[in-house]
Amino acid sequence: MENIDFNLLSPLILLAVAPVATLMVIAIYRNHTVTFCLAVILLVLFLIDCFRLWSLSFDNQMVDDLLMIDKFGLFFMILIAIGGILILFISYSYLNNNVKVAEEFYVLFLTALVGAVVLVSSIHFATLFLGLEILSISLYAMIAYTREWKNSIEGGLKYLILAAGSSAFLLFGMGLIYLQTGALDFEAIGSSLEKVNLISTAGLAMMLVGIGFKLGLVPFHIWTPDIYQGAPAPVTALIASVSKGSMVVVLVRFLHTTNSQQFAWIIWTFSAMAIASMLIGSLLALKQSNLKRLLAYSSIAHLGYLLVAIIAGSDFSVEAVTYYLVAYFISIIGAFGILSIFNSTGEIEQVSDLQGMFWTRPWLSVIFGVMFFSLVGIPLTAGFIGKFYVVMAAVNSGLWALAITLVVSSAIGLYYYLRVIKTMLTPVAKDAPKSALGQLSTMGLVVMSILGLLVIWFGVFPSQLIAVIRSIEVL
Amino acid sequence: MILVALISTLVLGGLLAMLLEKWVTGSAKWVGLVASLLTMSLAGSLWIQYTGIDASTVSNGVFMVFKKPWIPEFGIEFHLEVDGLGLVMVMLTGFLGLVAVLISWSQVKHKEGFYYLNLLWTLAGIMGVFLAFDLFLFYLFWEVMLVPMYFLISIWGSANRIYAAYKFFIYTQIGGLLMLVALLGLYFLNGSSTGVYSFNYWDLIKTVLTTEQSMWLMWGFLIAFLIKLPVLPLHNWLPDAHGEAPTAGSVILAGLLLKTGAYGILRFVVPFFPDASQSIAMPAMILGVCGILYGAKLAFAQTDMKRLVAYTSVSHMGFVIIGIFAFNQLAWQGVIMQLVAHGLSTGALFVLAGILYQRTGTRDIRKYGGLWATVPRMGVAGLILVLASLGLPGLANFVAEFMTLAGTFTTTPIIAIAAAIGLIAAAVYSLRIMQKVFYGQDTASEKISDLSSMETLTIATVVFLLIYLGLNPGPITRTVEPSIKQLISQVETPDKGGFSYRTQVNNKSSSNGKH
Repeated sequence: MENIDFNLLSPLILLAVAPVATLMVIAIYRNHTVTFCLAVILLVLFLIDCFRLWSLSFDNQMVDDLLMIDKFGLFFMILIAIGGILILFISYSYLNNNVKVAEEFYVLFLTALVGAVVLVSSIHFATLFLGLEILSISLYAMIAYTREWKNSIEGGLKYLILAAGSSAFLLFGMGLIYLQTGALDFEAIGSSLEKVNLISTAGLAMMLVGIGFKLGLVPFHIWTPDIYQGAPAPVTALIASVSKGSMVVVLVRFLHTTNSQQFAWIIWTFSAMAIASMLIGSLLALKQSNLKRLLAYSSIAHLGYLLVAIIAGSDFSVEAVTYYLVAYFISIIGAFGILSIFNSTGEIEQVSDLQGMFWTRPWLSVIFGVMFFSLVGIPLTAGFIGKFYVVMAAVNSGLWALAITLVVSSAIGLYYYLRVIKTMLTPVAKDAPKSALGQLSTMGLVVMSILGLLVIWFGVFPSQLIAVIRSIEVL
Repeated sequence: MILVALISTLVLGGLLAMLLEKWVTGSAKWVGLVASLLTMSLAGSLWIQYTGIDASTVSNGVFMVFKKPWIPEFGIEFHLEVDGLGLVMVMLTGFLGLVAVLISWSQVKHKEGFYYLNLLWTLAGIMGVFLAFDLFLFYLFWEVMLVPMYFLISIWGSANRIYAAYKFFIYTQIGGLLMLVALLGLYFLNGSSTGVYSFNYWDLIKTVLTTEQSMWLMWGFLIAFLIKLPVLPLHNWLPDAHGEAPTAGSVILAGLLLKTGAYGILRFVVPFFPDASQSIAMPAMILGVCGILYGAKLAFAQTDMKRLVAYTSVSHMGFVIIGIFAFNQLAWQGVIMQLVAHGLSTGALFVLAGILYQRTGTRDIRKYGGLWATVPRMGVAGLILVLASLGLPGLANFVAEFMTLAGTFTTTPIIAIAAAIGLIAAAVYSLRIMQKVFYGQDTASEKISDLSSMETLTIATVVFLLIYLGLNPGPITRTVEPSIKQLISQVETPDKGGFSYRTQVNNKSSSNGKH
């Protein structure tokens, strides 16, 4: 512990202090707007600190085998911070309309981010588990935050039980690996994993199950639609982006450091999961009339795409994952954001609620359309470059079957995304009851516009972002 | 710069139309008109420049290039080029774009701003497809032309528009994605062997492939293009999309979108995979013949005017596929003539069908009849277009089909003979249109109005072009000759015997043009 560079740890420390500070301010003066502003300010400080570190040229530094502060982790910290700030903005008006006591939401929100940030810099089972649990426990409460709604409570409870179950799997897997290798940090595990035997294989398999649950990959996807539907829309955005994203990052780091891809069976299992996720996710989305469930199934497919890039394992692989995650973060936060920024109680849930939106709220609909096009991967959106990157990684590694499955899944995906867009374009009948969409919050609209422009920007001029991503090395 | 202007005029015009319509109602169509006129004149000036230079002095037939790095990390450039083939397609796009705007003038009555945005962006995508020489950029434009087209069909189409729009989008998207995978395969194979990763057309064309590799990659490209063209088992989206689209949409679909498929095969599939494409020439040609006959048969059986015209497209595109896979210069020149002639004549037929639908409220040809008496101008226009479609000598379509068949005959006579039967079938279904619509007993109770002056002007221009090119195909055949020579040089001439015959005919056709 003697030679820890606190300079490098400062973002983590800052973010860990943030929820405590917020809690104390709430104790002194309970006010929604103040709490919101404080949370935003703290996150912005965190972001600035991350940028400061990014601009320093430093060696990748381990903190006592537990955490790794490197550009890879830092990149995702920045992404998480930006995503977090955007979701906060969406949450503000949403909470104003839907709950009576909103302040604690921000505390939970910040602790969730602490968990995510620990996860993306974790190189040790202890921090992996710690980060994961901080994240998940915050999420249980956040999912059930709108406690007057039945769905919300149900979602929270389901997530609690299933996440606890999957954590148990993860923990058992870690235990078995520890039994075999006597190590808890990724690198030591990697060096002693070479001799394969039943125990380490079982350990890895158990861990796979746990990770599969967290990512919502088929066949561990069953919870996804219920949670997505039950959770308040901003929380769903958080689950879909930050929570799943940080899990992907730690998975990439784990596979990369331990070199687990040397085991053919892992590749095969991952391939099977990827194919199943892409196809089943897309197919099940076809019949959904609930937007949040639809996005849930589509996120299963998207995680399948990401898995394809992870399997590819080439130089492109990490780049592809990173770019895809950036694009996915923006698009999915945008899509869920739109569901929650209307100043009315409740949220848009059914696809049919959107009918005629294009003619009454053209700008918002255009943004929504852009988000959806990005999720399908239509050119000139960030999602397209992301998908392009993934296909590139797959083709480069000769994973033809996965590339073709991706194509098929995208084509199926088109159908349901188009259905939503078509609904927005269908004019409402004259005698129809007035649309459920209420007034619009200005803040929400501004945030959405920024997201929409970002999607286009990263779709048309991806060069800078790619250059940044290329400069990152995973260690 | 002129190449960028061709695309950006349409893109900006579309945006302007959308924005201006919000402030000044009714301004969108004027913006559309100005943008398409500007594009047309840009294309025209390109044409004039091209005729001014000596084609033999430029390498590869390319006479104008625009290149800017775009995503250097992947070797992607914003790379536009135009050669003779591209130029002809650009001219066609400019002209039919103008027709599409003019025909929408009185037919589109709601949400005009968004309508012209989509119309002009579709055209921009098509223009980009014909100009892009970076394969990533090509793919991008290929996709970009779909989305606005989807909106055109699904918002301004007729009763069954939603279904048609889905079908159109999903068919073409699957093809597009397969192309993307094949494209990346080519990119990496080329990159790993040369060390330079690039999407540049001229780099990728040099890729050395094993037989197996080129077979697989070719299918990736080919399926995308065959869906667009369309070729027999993949044609299913076409009648729905053409039938349900608004008039301008049908014009663009039939006149331009289908052509991108043929263009893609000529420009990419054959030069990239010469051996693989030769090895599938026979099955492809047989599919082409089947398409000709099957399309003709179904066209004859249709009662819906627009679907009927749509099926004639299936039939006509059969000639294109045969001509392409005959691999000789004469046939290829015929193919390009066919692209132009079919674009013009079918485009105009859709215009006519759209006008009839607008006036009578039905597309069922059994409900028409005896219209010649009430609308003689429409009748004359219809007659000429139908005659063009059946391949009457003196009109451009005849030249196209003749050249295609003559070229095909030198390599595979049996296919040419079988395809020629299609000409008879064409006469049957074409004349049926005339009979059902314009002759016979007039059953309608209400009299409909004849072509307005703008409509007359539009169709008369098309008719003029069809006759002019029918009598003097030189401008087209001469323009595309250098690029065709370049493209076909990738393929070894399978039949040396026919060569002297072909050069003779070409000399004749080009000397004809000089008079």
